Amino acid sequence: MPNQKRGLARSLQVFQDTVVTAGPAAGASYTLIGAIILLGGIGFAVDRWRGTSPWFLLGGLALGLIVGFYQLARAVWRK
Amino acid sequence: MMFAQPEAHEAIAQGAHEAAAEGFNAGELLIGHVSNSPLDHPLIHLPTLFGIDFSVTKHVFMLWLVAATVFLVVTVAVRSYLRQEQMIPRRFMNSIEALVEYLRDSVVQPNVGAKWVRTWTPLLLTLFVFILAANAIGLIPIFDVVGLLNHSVLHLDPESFLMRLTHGGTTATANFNVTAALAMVTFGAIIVAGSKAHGFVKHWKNLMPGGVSPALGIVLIPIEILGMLVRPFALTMRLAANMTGGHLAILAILSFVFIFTEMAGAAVGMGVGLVFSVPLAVGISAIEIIVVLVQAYVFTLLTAVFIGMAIHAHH
Repeated sequence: MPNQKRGLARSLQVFQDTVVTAGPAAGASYTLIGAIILLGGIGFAVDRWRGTSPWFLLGGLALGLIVGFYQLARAVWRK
Repeated sequence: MMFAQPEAHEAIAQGAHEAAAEGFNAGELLIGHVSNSPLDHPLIHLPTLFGIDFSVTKHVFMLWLVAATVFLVVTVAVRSYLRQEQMIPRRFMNSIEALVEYLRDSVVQPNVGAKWVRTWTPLLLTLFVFILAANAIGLIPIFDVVGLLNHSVLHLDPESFLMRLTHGGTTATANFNVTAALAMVTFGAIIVAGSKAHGFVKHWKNLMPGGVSPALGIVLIPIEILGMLVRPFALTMRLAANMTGGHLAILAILSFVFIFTEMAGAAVGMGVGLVFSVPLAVGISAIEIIVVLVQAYVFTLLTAVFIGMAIHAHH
């Protein structure tokens, strides 16, 4: 980073570097939440459809946790 | 639901007593403001083909409007730049160039690598500019102003095109179908990126983590496939929920004025509006301007990250 950059430009640059470094982590966190919501939601829908509450919801949430944490682990262990 | 919006403007225009007489339903008003126009009352009726209703609703109209605006603005600027004798970007072209360079150097290159940066920058730029424009145009209350004008000056026919435009939300990216389509582009791009970098078969083999026993590998395959499907879903929900959420927050705070008017009279309603609702709504609108930028940026960044993960899939 050139030294003549000061003030706002420099803070923006630092912010930018942080955000780009955080990109994969943000991806992993969104995948974790997304997996739990998507698979839990599918489980909830199946429960509503077949009247089997709460088993598919619980199974979906558990599967979502497994998928989400697996993706998170992959993102963490990449480095 | 459909007439919730004109009712609100009427209440503003004709004084709070009428609103109290009609009864104010905050839930209906809020949903009416953020939802698409209803399917039995679209902007333009089109026939149903293969079980798909092709009628143009407000969000479809907004998509076209955003696409046309972006296309015209960027094309005109770039064409006029190319016609110049000296290749020195001026005025608007300068900002386009800054945006393109910024995204290429700070978002695409660190994620997909120097080898593929020229392949993926166009797609990611398109995604960024389109989402940014759709978010930003959704923040401008163009059609709400039409509705307000209608009640005070225009008095349009309720079935006219302009009048139908005032029903329903204007942020196309607040519609889950729109963001799902954008995320599908990302999903396709991930597969294409992996296939281009490693070959089609190798890309799918890369999904299997290397160095694990076959028994564990069989368990991991469905988990990997689910993870692949979850990523675009996360993108879909994030963008649409963020865009809907901000609008709902502003509207909910503004609807306090009418709720308090109904409960305790016009003076209290006005007071709540002046002291609480309007300043807070202004503040949230200011945050929304940042949100508009950040959401477009995050969508682009995450797409770049996922494409980069498919390209650099070494275990």
